[in-house]
Amino acid sequence: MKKILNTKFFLDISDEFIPKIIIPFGVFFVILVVWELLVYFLRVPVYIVPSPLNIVDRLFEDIVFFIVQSSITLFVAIAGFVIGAFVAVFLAILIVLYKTIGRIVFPISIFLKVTPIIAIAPLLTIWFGFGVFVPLFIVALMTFFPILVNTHFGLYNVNHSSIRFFQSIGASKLEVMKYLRVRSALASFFTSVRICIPLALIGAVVAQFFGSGSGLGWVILVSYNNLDMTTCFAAVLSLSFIGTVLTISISFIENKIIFWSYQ
Amino acid sequence: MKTKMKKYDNDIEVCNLTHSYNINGKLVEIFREINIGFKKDSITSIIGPNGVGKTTLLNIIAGFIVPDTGNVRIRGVSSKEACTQKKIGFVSHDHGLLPWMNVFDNVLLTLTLNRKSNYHNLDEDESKVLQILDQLGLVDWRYYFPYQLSKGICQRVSLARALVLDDVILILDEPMANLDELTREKLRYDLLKIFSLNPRTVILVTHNITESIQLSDFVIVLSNQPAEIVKSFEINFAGKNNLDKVIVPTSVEFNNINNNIRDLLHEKNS
Ligand SMILES: Nc1ncnc2c1ncn2[C@@H]1O[C@H](COP(=O)(O)OP(=O)(O)OP(=O)(O)O)[C@@H](O)[C@H]1O
Ligand SMILES: [Mg+2]
Repeated sequence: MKKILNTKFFLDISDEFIPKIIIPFGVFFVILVVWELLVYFLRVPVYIVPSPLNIVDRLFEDIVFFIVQSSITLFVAIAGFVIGAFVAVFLAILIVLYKTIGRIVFPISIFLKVTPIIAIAPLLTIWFGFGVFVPLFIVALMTFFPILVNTHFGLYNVNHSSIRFFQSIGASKLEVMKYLRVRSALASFFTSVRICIPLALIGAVVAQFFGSGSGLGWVILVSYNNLDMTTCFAAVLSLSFIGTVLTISISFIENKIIFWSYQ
Repeated sequence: MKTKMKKYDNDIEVCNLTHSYNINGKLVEIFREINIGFKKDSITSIIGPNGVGKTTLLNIIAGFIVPDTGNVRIRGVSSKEACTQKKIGFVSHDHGLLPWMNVFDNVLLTLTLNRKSNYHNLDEDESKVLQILDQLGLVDWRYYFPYQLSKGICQRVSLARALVLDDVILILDEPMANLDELTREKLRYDLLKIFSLNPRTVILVTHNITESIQLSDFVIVLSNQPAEIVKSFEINFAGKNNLDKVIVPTSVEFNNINNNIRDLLHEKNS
């Protein structure tokens, strides 16, 4: 499988320090400086676009608050993802073992995929009430489909020679699954995990817009209502930070687990 | 070592095999009425030009492709049945080793999967694996992962993992395609030794005429489209099973057969 995002360069600090570290961070830094200067010289009011220094100030002023709210969103994103992924992987394995299950599951999951899950968040809030359950449920639903499709693809498309050899010497379907398919599917599973990081964060934040009473989504909503752009941006910044950390961690875990793909 | 005694009962019967592929809407006939018997405990080489249908034939015999008509019996049962009864070892031309297991574990896994009863003894299995790796000169590579090995060595490991099973019918598709000339010669010798200690029914597809004559009891020459058996040679000249040294035989009989096969292949392809 092709990697969707190449995040390996974050991990490999030893060689080519300048192109890999200085250039990306340099670009980032320049953008921030330009932003700061523009806000300063154009006298943009803080309730429209706050300057980077304002935002950082705001973040550290209430650092405990932001950490708590970030943790809630992070928890929802991860827990929801784990639930969605668990069900998806389980179903993908069943589908490869028993074709009939695929005929039942795929139409439903395609229906789920084409429905923007976010759109039913208000409904769910009415049925299940406020709190952490609805965001969890939404994240699980949103991450379910990419994981199902990619994992199924990975489980199904395994090396021809390996599978023929295994079948010829009498390996059962379950043995082929256990010894061959599961680990062959890891690469495409991780690809879908990387696709799911932003999805999980979107799901968590938007679901928290609907009266969850906590989390970064709620912070963004409240600060928006108060025209408090600085807090809003600080929350967004926290989200970017969470997303980056998640992406790097996943790449790190992937490289540790799929050790044989170095070539 | 002396020539082994052979019971020539057919272990594999291919009857009235017909098969076509649909290639871009055109039906291309690969086989028309092919009949072959593979004798028990004998090594049969199949030799023929590219694209004549050797791989297809092996896939049909192992039950991975269902032929249009005709049937295959392996020790009295169908191919599918033979697979479930753990009677076949099918080695494709690319090695298909598991990339997350080292050489030793790859070979060991075969024994696990081919086990016919619940009883097993890990020590016994492990010494079996070591023995076959030793016979094929692979012991030094046993802790290497496939991605750390060259293609040729991976191919030898994939042979090892089929040869470690001592009672299956071996179906080998160009198992030595990636090996250098000297390794090939050495491996032929190793294989002959393994087979003389433990006779097995082997079907071997190869492009190397010398190899086919040296390794096998029968050589089947396939040619034309649809494929037909141009000729089937029985190889049993004196000194063929001389395992004392690694040599390319230069006897008169060897050269006769060699030239015969070469002429046939030239003739049918010109
Ligand atoms: N899946 C397929 N679909 C359609 N045609 C196929 C398919 N596989 C093989 N063929 C055709 O069947 C013919 C025989 O193919 P096969 O792979 O059996 O040849 P081969 O004798 O093994 O050749 P080689 O020596 O190159 O390995 C080829 O000419 C090819 O065009
Ligand atoms: Mg072939």
